[in-house]
Amino acid sequence: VRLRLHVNGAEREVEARTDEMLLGVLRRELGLLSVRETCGIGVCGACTVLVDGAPISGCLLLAAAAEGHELVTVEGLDGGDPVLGAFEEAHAFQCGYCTPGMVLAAKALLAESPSPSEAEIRESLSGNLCRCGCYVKIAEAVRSAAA
Amino acid sequence: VEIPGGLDPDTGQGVASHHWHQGAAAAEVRVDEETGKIEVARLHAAIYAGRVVNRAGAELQNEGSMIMGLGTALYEAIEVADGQVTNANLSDYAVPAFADLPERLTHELVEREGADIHGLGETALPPVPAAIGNALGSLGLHLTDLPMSPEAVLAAVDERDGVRA
Repeated sequence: VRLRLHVNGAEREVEARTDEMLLGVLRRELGLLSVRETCGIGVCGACTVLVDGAPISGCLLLAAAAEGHELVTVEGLDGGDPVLGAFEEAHAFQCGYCTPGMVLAAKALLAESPSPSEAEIRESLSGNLCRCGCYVKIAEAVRSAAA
Repeated sequence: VEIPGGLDPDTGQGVASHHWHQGAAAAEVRVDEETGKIEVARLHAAIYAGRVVNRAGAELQNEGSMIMGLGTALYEAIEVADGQVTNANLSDYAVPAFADLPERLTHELVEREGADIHGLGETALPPVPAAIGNALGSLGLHLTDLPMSPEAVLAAVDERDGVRA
């Protein structure tokens, strides 16, 4: 089917199967490769997309169900975005694979709770896995973006 | 600088590395003896780092090693049944997440003036399961297989208390 998606501030027309998830459509139709398929079952957070500001696993959301919602990936963030800047400043990554999802999850947390506690940071980012184990510096980045 | 070591390309034999890496870790652990759940309250590691040229990278390497060591110690195991891996996705193969971190995780890069530059590798990883295991040992719980699952903890409690399964 033909879908109209509102992605990173622009209205985009895409072609998708009715049973297709948002993740594959964003990658294939729009070339948004920061959204990454890993587990495919919503446990790793690598395909996190902000849907009306909430961090959602792109592998679990039907593309058709994303119509009419505001979608944001890291490609849509401003270069001067404070969370991006904080991740860079804190060196909050090694391989960088989980980083787009982490950044979006962090943005969602900070939008809801501008100065989150350590416990809030840990809970809110627990749906995003990092095999390199960069959690210490990711938490540092979130704290400094909050300050 | 002449670096000793290197393998003979024909025989594959020789001195693989002339660097010796030292790492140590300490863990403060809480155990729920009713459920077998282990909580690592504090984890500290120190490694010999020679001369550090990339501070942030070295710290990330240490922190990542410790967190990976935590996974090895408590969560990660590939399960096989009839020749097939039965936990081939992240729903069943548990990688440490943010919520699994110790309340405090600290580490130290032990540097020496004039020392060589060398790769840190995962020097801070191997001592982590041992530190957690020894913390359990201080409670009379002797676990010798990884990961130290709640089931294994409960079995160790029974063994210590002389309960027959």
